[in-house]
Amino acid sequence: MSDGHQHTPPPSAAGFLEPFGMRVTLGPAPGGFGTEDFLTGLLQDLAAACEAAGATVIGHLKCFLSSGEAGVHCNLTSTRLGARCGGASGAVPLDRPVELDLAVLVYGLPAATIATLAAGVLDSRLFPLGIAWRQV
Amino acid sequence: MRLLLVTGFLGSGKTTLILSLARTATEAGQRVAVVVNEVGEVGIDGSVFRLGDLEVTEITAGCICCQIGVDLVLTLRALAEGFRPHLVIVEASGIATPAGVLETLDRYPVEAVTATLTLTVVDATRFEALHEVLTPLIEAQIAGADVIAVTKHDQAAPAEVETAVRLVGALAPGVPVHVVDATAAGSLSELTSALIGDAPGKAPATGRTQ
Repeated sequence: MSDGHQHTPPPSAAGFLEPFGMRVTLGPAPGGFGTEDFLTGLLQDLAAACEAAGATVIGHLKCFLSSGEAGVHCNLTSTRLGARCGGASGAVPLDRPVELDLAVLVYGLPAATIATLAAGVLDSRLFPLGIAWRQV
Repeated sequence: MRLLLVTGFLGSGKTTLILSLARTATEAGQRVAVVVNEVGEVGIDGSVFRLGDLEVTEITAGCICCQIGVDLVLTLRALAEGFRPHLVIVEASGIATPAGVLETLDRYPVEAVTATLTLTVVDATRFEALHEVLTPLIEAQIAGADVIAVTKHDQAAPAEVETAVRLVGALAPGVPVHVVDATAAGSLSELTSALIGDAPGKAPATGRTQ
């Protein structure tokens, strides 16, 4: 979803920036599910997909997985360096639905395109594990 | 109530650095509030700050450097009357320029604010590349700084750090530049001292005094 952000940064060779954000609910995960591995892989795949789709600059990809009581956050600024995480991933119970906030700030791609890429990456990462997701 | 405005491009390390600064200031007995303005409706940084048990106010739906600058003024006034912090750290969005925020604060002064300091955070790993394609924004962020932190020296190649420091120095002559790893408290002591002082209400050495 585009957020209708009205700020216009100074003109640049990088082109336009359309912020994209989404909140999804993830269904219960199977035992042994690696939270940080999943989140870093998600951001890495999404950044690579954005670059392949023509993003001129990867600004910042961020996510926050929360159960209400505990949370883990990860972010990525380049595919070269990959994603990093903080928080207490082990404290997020995965035997029940959890919420995942995702923010994607890249130059040169419309928010609608990023939405399609994000849905594709979530499908490809979660479907093989049998984890359902839905946007809220 | 002192104000630390933290600017810098998307992903430059503002949130990580603020977490460290806020922890240090809190441990030194200062009451700290964080105001965060993110690009986009889905805010992540506010959640990260709350995870660190910080007093957080989120300003969304625009940029505090332009169309919702007045929201920052109202937030600061509310904090001054309610939480009464010694230090307010404002995290600007990654596409904000310090000048835009400071102009608003000049136009609508907040009486409780006794000093304002602007920190610009620069990502060593990609400063040169970003400067090349986002020149006006990057240069405006550097130009508005009282202090500059070059971050991610733990992830950057030595040549990248060297280039970032050289370019930043050329763009902002005379402005103190600190090379830090925001995740390592040991590398932050000098910067922390310059930015937040070490006692409640104590003003740092540089910045604008109201």
